[in-house]
Amino acid sequence: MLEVHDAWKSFGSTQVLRGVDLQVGGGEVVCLLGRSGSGKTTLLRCINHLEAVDAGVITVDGRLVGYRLDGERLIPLKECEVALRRREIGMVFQQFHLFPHLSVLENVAYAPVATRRMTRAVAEQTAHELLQKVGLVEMAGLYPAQLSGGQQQRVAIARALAMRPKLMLFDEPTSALDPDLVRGVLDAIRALARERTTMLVVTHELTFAREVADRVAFMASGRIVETAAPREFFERPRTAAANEFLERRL
Amino acid sequence: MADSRERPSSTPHLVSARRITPSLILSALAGVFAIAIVASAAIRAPALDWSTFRQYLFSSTVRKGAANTVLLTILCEALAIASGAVVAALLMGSNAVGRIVGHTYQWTFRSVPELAQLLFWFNLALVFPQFKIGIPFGGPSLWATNMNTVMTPWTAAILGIGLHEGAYLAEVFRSGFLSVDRVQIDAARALGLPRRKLVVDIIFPQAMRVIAPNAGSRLIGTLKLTALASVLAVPELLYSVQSIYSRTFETIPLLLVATAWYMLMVGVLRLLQHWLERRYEMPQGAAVDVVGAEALA
Repeated sequence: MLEVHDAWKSFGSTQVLRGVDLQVGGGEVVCLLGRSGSGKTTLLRCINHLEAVDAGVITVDGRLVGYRLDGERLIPLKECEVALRRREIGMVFQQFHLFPHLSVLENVAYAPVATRRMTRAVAEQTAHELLQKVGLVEMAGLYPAQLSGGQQQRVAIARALAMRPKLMLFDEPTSALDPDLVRGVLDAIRALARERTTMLVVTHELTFAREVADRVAFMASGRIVETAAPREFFERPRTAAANEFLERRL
Repeated sequence: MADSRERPSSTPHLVSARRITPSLILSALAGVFAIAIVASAAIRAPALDWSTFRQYLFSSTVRKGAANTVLLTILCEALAIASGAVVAALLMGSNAVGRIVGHTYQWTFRSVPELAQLLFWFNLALVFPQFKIGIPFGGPSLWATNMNTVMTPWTAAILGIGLHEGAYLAEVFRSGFLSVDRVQIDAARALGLPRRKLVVDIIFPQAMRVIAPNAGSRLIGTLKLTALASVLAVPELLYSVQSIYSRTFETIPLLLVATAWYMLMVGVLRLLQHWLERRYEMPQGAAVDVVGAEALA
């Protein structure tokens, strides 16, 4: 479903991604771990082309997202073409980024209508079902500022799901939340995992990663240095970097 | 879930503050006294001839003048919004030439006094006697006429006030758009929204929260700037009362007639501004108490 091959990205003189390779199969849940500053968020943003890679090939469902390939050269696509590809990829941000001027229901139903995927009636029906799923259907008429952080994040998940993406990206979805609100968000992601939604989840919740992930990818200084089944990764990390990371955390 | 325990009356509890306090009564009395002084002086002053005021308040000249002021304000504001939007787009755009054009526009139209700009436009025929539409650099013209037939007092007033106001509105629009959190753009792009939808449905409504109050007070300013058109003999409100008191010398009563109309119009605009601000208000966290507690349960 997702293939990242030799992705490179720098911001000015800072080299953030140094040849990332990663595959996520259809229906697979991969948790991306690593210390802050190891390039996890940048990798996620490159996958749906919110950032453009300097080099490397990223395909979702077999198609390049932000470029077309001409021999060895990547030719940037037009903004409207990128927008079409992005509809296949859902993204959940650390800070939720809900639209503050739209109600909870409108936040979820807006994009499918605006992109003409659904009629308003169908989109609102779908939004209701998704809000039901994340346990917030009774909040449909409220506005983001009236919700707790955990509730906002669950709305953000519903908003991304409303586009029926083939791949979901989560960028530290619980890092901005108070500890007692984390559970609700993780439960929502767990439910998606049970439905075999293809997901790439950047997280610091190691227990959650261990429980939900089919595979764990560990990132250090701009590369994925280790990929393994969670049990294997947590019990017998192969690299020194992963070992050190786990020792600090557990 | 709800605990039905009553608060014991012995627990120290907050007493709500009194609404009518001695200082409130004192200031109300002082206010009434001040109004009485001014009103009695106004009624007795011979220059404030209230019967003349009543005589002209709804006279046909004044009513036409007021109507022209409204029309002039609408036309000036339309031009100001159009030019302001274009200049703001140029200033925020990625085209370097466009940004230079935008800055030059603002510099020019904000540097020259409004009255001078009106006079410039009105006297344009001194520079360009012919108004010509066609190919530049001496090419054939499709349509040409005397500049003075195009540059009427009305045209000059609309151009002078509208383009000047556009330079300021551009700044209002720009600050509104800059006030929207950049991450909103990320969120909208991640959903695959086309650029036009992103701007119209996501950025614009949020920018309007900052734009509405500022643009509203600029609009009130535009209304008052239209009085400048009186120097070009556009028969707007101020010119209308001037045309009467230059004959009758009832200067103050007629200026008060104009004042009354301007206050009425600004009053209406204030209502409009209030409505616009309410329209784009974002609900803030009032319900958190209730739903927050539920989320924890």
